[in-house]
Amino acid sequence: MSNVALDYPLGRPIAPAITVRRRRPLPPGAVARVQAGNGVNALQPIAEITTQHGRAPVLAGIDGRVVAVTPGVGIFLEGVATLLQGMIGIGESAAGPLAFLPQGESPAVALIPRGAILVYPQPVPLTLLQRAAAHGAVGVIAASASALELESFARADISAVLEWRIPLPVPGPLVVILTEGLGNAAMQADMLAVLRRREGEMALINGVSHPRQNMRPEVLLSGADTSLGEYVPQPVLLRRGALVRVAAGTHRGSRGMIRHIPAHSAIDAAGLRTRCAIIDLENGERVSLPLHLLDVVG
Amino acid sequence: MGATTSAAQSLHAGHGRQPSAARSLLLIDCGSAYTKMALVGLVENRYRLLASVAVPTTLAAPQADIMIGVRNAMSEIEQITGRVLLRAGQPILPEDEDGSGVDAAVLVSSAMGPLRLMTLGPGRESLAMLLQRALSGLFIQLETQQVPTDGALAEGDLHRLAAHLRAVQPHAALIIGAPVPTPNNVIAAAAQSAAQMIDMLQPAAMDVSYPRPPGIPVIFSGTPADAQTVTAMLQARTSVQSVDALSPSTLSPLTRAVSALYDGYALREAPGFAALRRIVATPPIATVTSLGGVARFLAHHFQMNVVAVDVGASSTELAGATAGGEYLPAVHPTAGVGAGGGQLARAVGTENILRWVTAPVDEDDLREYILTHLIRQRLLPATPLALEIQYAMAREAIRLAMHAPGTRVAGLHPMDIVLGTGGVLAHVAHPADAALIMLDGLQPRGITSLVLDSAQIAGMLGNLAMLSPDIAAELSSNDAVPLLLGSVIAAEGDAPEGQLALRIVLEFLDGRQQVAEIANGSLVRLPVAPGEHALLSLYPAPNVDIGLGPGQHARSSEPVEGGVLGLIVDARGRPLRLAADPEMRVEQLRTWRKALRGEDES
Repeated sequence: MSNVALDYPLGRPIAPAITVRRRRPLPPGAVARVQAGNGVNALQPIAEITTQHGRAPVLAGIDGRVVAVTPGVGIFLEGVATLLQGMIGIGESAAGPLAFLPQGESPAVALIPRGAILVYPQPVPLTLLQRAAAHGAVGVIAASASALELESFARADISAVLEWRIPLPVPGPLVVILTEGLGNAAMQADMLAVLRRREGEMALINGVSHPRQNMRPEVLLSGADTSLGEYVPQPVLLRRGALVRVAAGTHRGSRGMIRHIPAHSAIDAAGLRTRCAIIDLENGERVSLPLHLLDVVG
Repeated sequence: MGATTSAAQSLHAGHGRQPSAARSLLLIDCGSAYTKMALVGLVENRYRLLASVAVPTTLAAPQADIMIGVRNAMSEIEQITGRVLLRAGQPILPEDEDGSGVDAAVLVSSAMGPLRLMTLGPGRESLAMLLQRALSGLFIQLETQQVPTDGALAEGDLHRLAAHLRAVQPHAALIIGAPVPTPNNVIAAAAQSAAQMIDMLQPAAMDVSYPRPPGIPVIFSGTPADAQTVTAMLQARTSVQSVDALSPSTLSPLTRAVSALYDGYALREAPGFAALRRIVATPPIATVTSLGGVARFLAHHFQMNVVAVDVGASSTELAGATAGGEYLPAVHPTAGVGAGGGQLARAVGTENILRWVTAPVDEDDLREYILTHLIRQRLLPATPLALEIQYAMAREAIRLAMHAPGTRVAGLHPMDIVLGTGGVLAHVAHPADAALIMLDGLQPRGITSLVLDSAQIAGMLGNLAMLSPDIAAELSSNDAVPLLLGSVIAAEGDAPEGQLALRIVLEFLDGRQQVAEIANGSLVRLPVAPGEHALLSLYPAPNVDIGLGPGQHARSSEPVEGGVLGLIVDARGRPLRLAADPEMRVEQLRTWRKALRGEDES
């Protein structure tokens, strides 16, 4: 079977335990407070930078050890983490505690904790992005956003940024990660559950996206998330029994299990002849969907 | 007219050349989103297409190896044909006595995008027209960068400059010198800029003792004296290839030098490319280069003007060739309907894409479509609306490529044969969709045969011709253009909409006769079924031109064969005008689509 879920670098959006090596960038003038070989915890300041309000610490973001310190480039950290991959993001690296808005409170008025990474499992409105930036949040992990509103917030043509036609925006005060992409999709339940369980804990996020390299924005949470079960390494094939999520179209966001992949192609909802899979959705519906719409999630 | 209307028939006729030694061939086209593969073999002593497949290209994690996609495609062909192509996961080359494997494989690719060339030097602006002529038709992307010549930039500016260079990641630098000797400091400054650029592109190593990789290669076009200066200044950093100074008679050395870099620098970035390179019999070439070869072959073979059209996910390629042997390529290397959608929208404007869409779609919907297909590169349209947006983008991508600087295909009249290939056109929901995309995008005048390469092999045949011209020619005739959509009669004139533009008399070979009166502004299908033949007599209104001059009558010298869309009469005028009023425009588009889909008849 040649049809493999390719949209996530690890084959699926959540990797419960994985060894990662990541760079915490150091802007000009930053002073490193660690050396190669040092052990660090997520809350530990590893460098100091100068801001308009004075000196500010750069936090490690994940537990691990320092692999290298390269002046002008960054501090390289290695550790074991739970990795959540989004579809699109803006901004570079940021670390902070995960925070949710109080239930039922309007994003237009809710208190936004300074230095936090805000989790918003719905389509995020432009107002919330602007308020998060204005109130000193360091990141927003949201399910989705309007394309135009995201571009308004970034003040950039995001397509040019994703193609690396223009330089990545100068690291701004806010990193944004959309776990489902553009539009109005809600966050997938598994990912929301992980983020809920880790509310208040430190996270290291990175919004850099490069689709051609399949470089996706990511959320790193220290340690393995044992509740997710054993990590099944890639390759993750679209085959009978695979748990999949629908990436686009009228069934976007639905989950189900592949029941059968017919050998012959079929006419899909768009009117195109494509290879399809017969899927039993979690809502009990049985549908035929093109393979190119499916992400393997388990 | 007879020659034109019989083009499609001739394409099916073949020309009976004897096959050469190879018994079987694998044609591979690694695109940015999908890898297409075709198996060619001998059937009754003639080379025929045995199977073709398309599978996702595998260039990035979790499958960062282009050979995975190639092997997947081979596996699919094995399943379709029952022929064994792989043994222990490795391609079987050459063909075994038991019939497994293939004798040779050829590769075309656009997978890694175009060759990115940073241009600089004193001749960059003054010789721009010659530069465009020399490089048109190559799969390259020219970048310009104002690199400082005196090192006087502030630190912040240098950071921005370095960030831009790292974002663009040029594969090579092209220094265009003046055609006559210049003061030494002028060319030295250009070489200094190139040196600075090469240094800025050096990766930031974690370990300073890591060996410094060679810089990007430099091509210099200019006088021998200037070439010495450039070489002396850059040789410690990289290799410098010098070619003749640009002049109308010395374009080809630069064309060849740049073309040679594609295989060596753009393609080699593909993970796993070395293994793929080992199994192919000829140097890989860019898809557009190969498509150009096919267009030239067809134009030469049928003594007609040919335009081949390939709208891809990341790039759009037109290859025009005239009966007289002139080659008229038109490439937009970064604008397409998938990952190239952002570039397309920037170039043509979202309003020009949306004007082709009948459903209520706003800019946010279009931006969402573009960004979603950019971040999910193998995603195909999932809804009828998404498909309509893709077709709208395809029309604009063709128009953009057609009018790219330095290209002349827009002036090619008549376009006797238009050959559609590539994923978008080959996999349309209805053949009428492909016909409309090509008609709206190219707006051919006079009489044209529209043919569709639904097997998507036309783009591979140009490189096959390097291995075996006979086999490529045989396949071009037999299999690359199997679906005749129909002959198109395009009428243009300034008659009021709804007035008679053209009267057509069809005389079928079985003695039937049919007269059709075509109103100005309309698009009509006349029922000439595939395999059915009819003689045409055309009587345009005095101010209407069907390619022979206003009001000129015409009668075909030989019968026209019907296509899957019959005989198409396009009396919408040239240039095509869409109504300014949104409701009328939507009505216009729906009427045209219904007319070509034949929905009124059903």
